[in-house]
Amino acid sequence: MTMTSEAATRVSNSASVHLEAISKSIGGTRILAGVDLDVNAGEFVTLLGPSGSGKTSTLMAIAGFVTPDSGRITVRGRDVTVLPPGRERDMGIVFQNYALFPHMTVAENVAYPLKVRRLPRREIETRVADVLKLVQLDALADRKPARLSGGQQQRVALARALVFEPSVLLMDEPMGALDVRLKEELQLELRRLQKEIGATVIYVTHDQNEAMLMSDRVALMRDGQIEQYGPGQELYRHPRSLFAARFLGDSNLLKGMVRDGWLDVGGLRIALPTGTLAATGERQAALLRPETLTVREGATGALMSEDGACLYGTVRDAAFVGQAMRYEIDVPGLPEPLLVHQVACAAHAQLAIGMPAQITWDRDDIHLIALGDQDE
Amino acid sequence: MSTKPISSPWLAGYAWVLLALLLIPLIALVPISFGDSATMSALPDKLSLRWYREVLGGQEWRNAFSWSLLTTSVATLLATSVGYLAAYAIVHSRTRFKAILEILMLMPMMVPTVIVAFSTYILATWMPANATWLMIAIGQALLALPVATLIMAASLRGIDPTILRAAVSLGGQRAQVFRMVTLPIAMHGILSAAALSFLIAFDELLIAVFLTKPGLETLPVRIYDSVTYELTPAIAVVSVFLMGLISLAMIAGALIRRFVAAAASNPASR
Repeated sequence: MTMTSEAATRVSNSASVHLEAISKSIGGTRILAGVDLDVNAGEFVTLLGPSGSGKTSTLMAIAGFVTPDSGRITVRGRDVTVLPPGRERDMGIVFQNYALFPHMTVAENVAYPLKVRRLPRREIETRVADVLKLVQLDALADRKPARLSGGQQQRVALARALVFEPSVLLMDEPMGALDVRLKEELQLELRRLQKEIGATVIYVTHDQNEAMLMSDRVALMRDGQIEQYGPGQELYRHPRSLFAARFLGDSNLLKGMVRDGWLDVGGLRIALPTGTLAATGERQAALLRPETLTVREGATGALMSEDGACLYGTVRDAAFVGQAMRYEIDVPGLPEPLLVHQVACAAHAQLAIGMPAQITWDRDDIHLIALGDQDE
Repeated sequence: MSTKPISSPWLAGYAWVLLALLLIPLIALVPISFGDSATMSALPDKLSLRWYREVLGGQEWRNAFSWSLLTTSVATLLATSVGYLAAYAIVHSRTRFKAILEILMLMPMMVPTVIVAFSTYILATWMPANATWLMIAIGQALLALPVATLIMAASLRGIDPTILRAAVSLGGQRAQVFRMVTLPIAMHGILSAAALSFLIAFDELLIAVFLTKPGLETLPVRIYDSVTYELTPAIAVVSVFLMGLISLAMIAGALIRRFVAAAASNPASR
């Protein structure tokens, strides 16, 4: 399933989108609490968050289906905050369930946005044919949606939202209903397609892998606000809060207090990353991603090494998960076992449950998160 | 869900008996209609088309049929269009009085038809004499309205609201969304509602009896009069004629449905 480049058309129309302090309450509940977001023209931005975090509401506010109580939404500098959804707003939307017109064929579905704009028939035909070729559905142009697979329906919805070259393409969990394998394929395909045509895409998902795989930038949402906004790699490596660290990927969070250039975690000394400027008395959490840890059989009774980049414990659980071994290691002094993902290969001897273990890491793989008052 | 087809000779027999009970009274009318005498007999001594000539050639019956067709068509149009708007309001309105409105909509179905008939009669006395037929049509539409509304509300409820959102977001204006999306999806329900309205209105006797006058007689009124004062095989002829018409309509409906289904799955008919 590769995109044919000859059919590719660039969306010359793609626009930047800015949200300023968007707030919205429904029935006394605050669903959006001051959302700020900058999306550049041609950028792929994902709104990521748990359910109820306000990601879909934000998307619907951009689409015009939710009118904010306060704040401003501009598209290419033009205020569209209270503009009703539709032609004036000029946005292509792919809904979660695709919302295809059941009584129209694939081609008719895709032609609809052009028909309502009263384009000449000739032009409609060429543009529909072009966009169907782009999403590789030209062979199914005469099918009704009911006779398409989920993945095909999704492409029809995409083609229909692209065909009128909207300034922004909005997508609300479009992969939600698809099985994993198809999902991965379509994710890569959508990403390539987006780069090819240069469309501005705002995408909603609760799937962190999907968000990181596809987006230029990810906006992590929580309680109607944007918790952190940046490239996926930055969010993963340098989360600014415990929430962000926990939401993206697996994490080990060692909470402690800075003391004389070390992080004191319940008596265990953890070396700070080189060049860290943290004053004694500051409360910090050290984020250790499970895949940055190395585990090997350790000496019994050993407690702590001098360099502060090593811990000793006992294997509590060991599981083979395909590409890696997943260990849980009980470390005396830590409230929760350490999670370790170690590539399953000849270089690493497998450990069994109950064996003593030594965990090491590079101190520069540690990321410090300053703890606020509300973080216990 | 797997349902096994039930097959038992007893069940088949039962079905045939039931079918016979339903159809025999109707079929019995056929020989009567071919009678030659002025009285009705189940097995006429002599077969003739005398009464067919009387009825189909007679001005009275033809007038009655025309009046029925006129009032029923107007009633169907009224019930379907007003019913559609009511159904739309019931489905999409957010007013607190929605429940009350829904019950009010069903009123004509709940009150005895005599009351509706009487009230249309009173209203007709306020109207010019040559608009009486319209009053009959309005009364008939009133009787058909609840059923028409319910059917169309059900089919509007069946439309996924995100489909309408999509239609709007893709640039469709109100009228375009209605014409290109809502109407085609709801068409099946609208046609059902229209067909049922037609049957209800065509069948309606009481309102027409209240408002009838010389020169304005619908077919049910004419039949009623004929039964009361004449009792000739003419009624049998009318009945056979109507049965034939209805059978034709049903066959046509089935053919249309099959044609539409074929067109839907046939890519060449785009």
